[in-house]
Amino acid sequence: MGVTYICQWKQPEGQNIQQSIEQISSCVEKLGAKKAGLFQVECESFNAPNAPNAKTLHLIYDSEFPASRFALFEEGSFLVTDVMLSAFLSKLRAVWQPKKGGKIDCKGQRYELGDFLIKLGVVSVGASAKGISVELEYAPCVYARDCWGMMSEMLQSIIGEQAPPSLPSNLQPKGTERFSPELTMQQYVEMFNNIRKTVVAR
Amino acid sequence: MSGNPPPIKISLQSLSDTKIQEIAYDGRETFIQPLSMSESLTDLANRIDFLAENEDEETQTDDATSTSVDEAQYQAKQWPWENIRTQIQRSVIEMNVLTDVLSIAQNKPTNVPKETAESSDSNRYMMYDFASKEAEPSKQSLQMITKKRCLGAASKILLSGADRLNKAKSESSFQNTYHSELLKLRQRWRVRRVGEKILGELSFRTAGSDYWHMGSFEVIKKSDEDSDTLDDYEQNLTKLTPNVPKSPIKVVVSSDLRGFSSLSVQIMDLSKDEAIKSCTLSLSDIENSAMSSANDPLWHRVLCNAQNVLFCRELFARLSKEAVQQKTLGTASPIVVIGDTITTNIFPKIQLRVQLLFSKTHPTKRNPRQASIFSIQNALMHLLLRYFSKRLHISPPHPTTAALGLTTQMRHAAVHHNSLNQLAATAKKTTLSFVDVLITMSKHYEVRQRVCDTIKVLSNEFSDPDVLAHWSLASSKTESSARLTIANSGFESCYRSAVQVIVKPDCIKILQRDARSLTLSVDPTDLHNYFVSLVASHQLMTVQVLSRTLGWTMLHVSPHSSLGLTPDIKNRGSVLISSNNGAVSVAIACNEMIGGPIQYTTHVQYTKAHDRSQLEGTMYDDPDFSLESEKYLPLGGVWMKVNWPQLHGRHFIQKMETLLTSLVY
Repeated sequence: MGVTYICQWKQPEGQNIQQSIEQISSCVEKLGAKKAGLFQVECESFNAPNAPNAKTLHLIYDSEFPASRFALFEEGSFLVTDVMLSAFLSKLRAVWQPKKGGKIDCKGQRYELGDFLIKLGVVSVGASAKGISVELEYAPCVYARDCWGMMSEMLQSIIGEQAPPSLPSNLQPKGTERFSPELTMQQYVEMFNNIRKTVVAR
Repeated sequence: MSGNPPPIKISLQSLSDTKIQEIAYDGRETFIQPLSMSESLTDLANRIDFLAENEDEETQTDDATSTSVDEAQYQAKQWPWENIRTQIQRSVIEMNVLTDVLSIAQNKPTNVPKETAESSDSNRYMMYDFASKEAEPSKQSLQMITKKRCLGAASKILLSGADRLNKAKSESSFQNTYHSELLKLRQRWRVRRVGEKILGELSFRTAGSDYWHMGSFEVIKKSDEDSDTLDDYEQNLTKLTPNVPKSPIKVVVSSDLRGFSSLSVQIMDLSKDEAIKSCTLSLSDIENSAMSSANDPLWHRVLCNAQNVLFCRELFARLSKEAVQQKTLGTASPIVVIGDTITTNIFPKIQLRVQLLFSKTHPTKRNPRQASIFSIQNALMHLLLRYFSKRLHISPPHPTTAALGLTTQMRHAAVHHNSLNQLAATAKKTTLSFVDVLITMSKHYEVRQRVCDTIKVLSNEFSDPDVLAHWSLASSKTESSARLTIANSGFESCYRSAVQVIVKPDCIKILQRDARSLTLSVDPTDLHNYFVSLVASHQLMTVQVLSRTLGWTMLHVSPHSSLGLTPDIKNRGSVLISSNNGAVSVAIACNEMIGGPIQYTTHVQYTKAHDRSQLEGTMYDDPDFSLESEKYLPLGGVWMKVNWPQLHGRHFIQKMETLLTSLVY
């Protein structure tokens, strides 16, 4: 469990999602990465219609943490629980109700390259594919600042110009220096929200 | 001359007034009536201390200076001033003696020794005489008597103690009855009463075992007729120690537990069809030292043996069950289970064989050398015990609603967001595989043996640089390490190579001084080749360091130079050095021959001005080494080959030192 960076791959004009995925995966395989199974991230959003100021609650399942469920409030509170959380939320149906079209997931191939873990996934709402996510994890380090140099180099060789020029603010936690899975989940929620917005805008 | 004067006693007599007992408030006085004659006599008699009188007597006799004084004292007891009189009498005697001495001394002023003061004068002389002589011998006899009495008393106490011990011993032998024996049995084994029978259990169920065999036995009281008859099995049991105490109890175990069982683990070399190492494991071996003794009754031995059979069977059952489930575990061939034997090839032509041995007769004594894979024996035992304890000690669920049987780590895995790898690692840690452990350990054992043998061969093969191996004490069942030091004798401070060899079950890892690490296969030829190249490079390095200290200049070093058409050379390292003034150059080649030792060839080149008279006879023209072609012209001059046997020195480096020093001077 190291530092993870997640971004959305903005596909060039005239390319559909399938083509883009093939392009990136061939690029990753050329770097020498080996296929290491599939991955899946699911996000379900809930809201509380009865409470006036309630924020949205995102419930995330990540295949990288198969025993855990992550609950993330829009305002920033964070909770790690075991698999019984979704069953518990369904008991609280009177308070927390699932959002319409709130289910969004990301599935794809997982690659390993030395200490790096690369995940290329297709983000889809229901049955329709909406975008492509690229996740890069550097396992041996938990301080984002220390390993950002290596990570940005790797990112540039995968996604080229779309790589961020400097350390993104969302990789830097507020209180402590250590990177935690919480930040990974926040990045996923942000990316999912961005994808939803762009889809609505279209 | 005399000791302290004895204390003088003064007797006082009361006036004949009557004593006043008390005066009342009104002035009336109460008198004590005076004693009557008889009463005063008894009172006086009570006051006499007869013991003190005796003591006085003794001291006085000791101190007496003459018999006349003694007599005077005996009489003197009659009146109280006697002591004073004696003192005065004594001082008078002393004064007399003194005047005598003075008069003699005055008449004869010459130095006369005191002891034998014999004067040459006719009648006068002086000598000492002891006043009493009988005191000493009487004292010795008294001491002897008291000693005799003391010894007599002590011997009486000892004798009475011995009597008591004898009595207790004879009493205990009388108590050797059925019931006391049953009590002893209950102290060691679990026994319960069912109806009229007494049944017991010897399985490992209470320790956490789940083997199907119940291991029950029955306790029977022996009748008088069959108390001496033993069946074959029992005779076998008592064969080793014939003086087993007889007991009125007989235990009956089921027939499949009546026998001698052990588990044998062998590592076989199939090419030679012989066991490289083997060991047998049985519970009794381990118990023998700690629990049982030669005086154990027969029933205890029968039960211990039955328990051992059960233990071996359970261990074998676990092994065979796992072996059937997991076909290959990094072994060269699949694991085969046939009957009471598990076999697999851990390496090509090296077989691991686990066998369950069972016989009705006592097994022959094993070769002590064979029982040396103690770690395997210990590990299997340890694993089984761990398995037992895991079954027994299930950590309580926390909170109480949580699933049962999870470890704390597993319970916290979800909340501590454990990743996929972490979860896999925990799952791996919690499973115990007996076969896996056995195979890994025997593989490591075999690889370590190979490394040992290779090092041994190497140090025999190369007498020139000394090869030393230090095996580290800190090793585990699956990993051990050795430090290999190579140095030339006499030139240890010049240069020494050191490598760390880490032996693992599947590979040999080598850490060099320059922080490079190599991973070799378990094939011994691989390791041998590496060691030979290590020795060769060590020699080259030593030559470099030596030439630098002797003031030579390094022109060229190549650990792997071209070989040309020489099929019997594996590798050639070469060094080219020249003397400080450039007059002499020396080229050294270090050839690793195929299947042979390392060969050294050295060529020397001079300028014409150099004086070569010192090395006459040690060099000759090499016909193979012709440099007639044009491309060799820049090398210049003629190269002479050095005749190594002619040079003075015990080994290569010493000879090299001789050569280099004699070339310069």
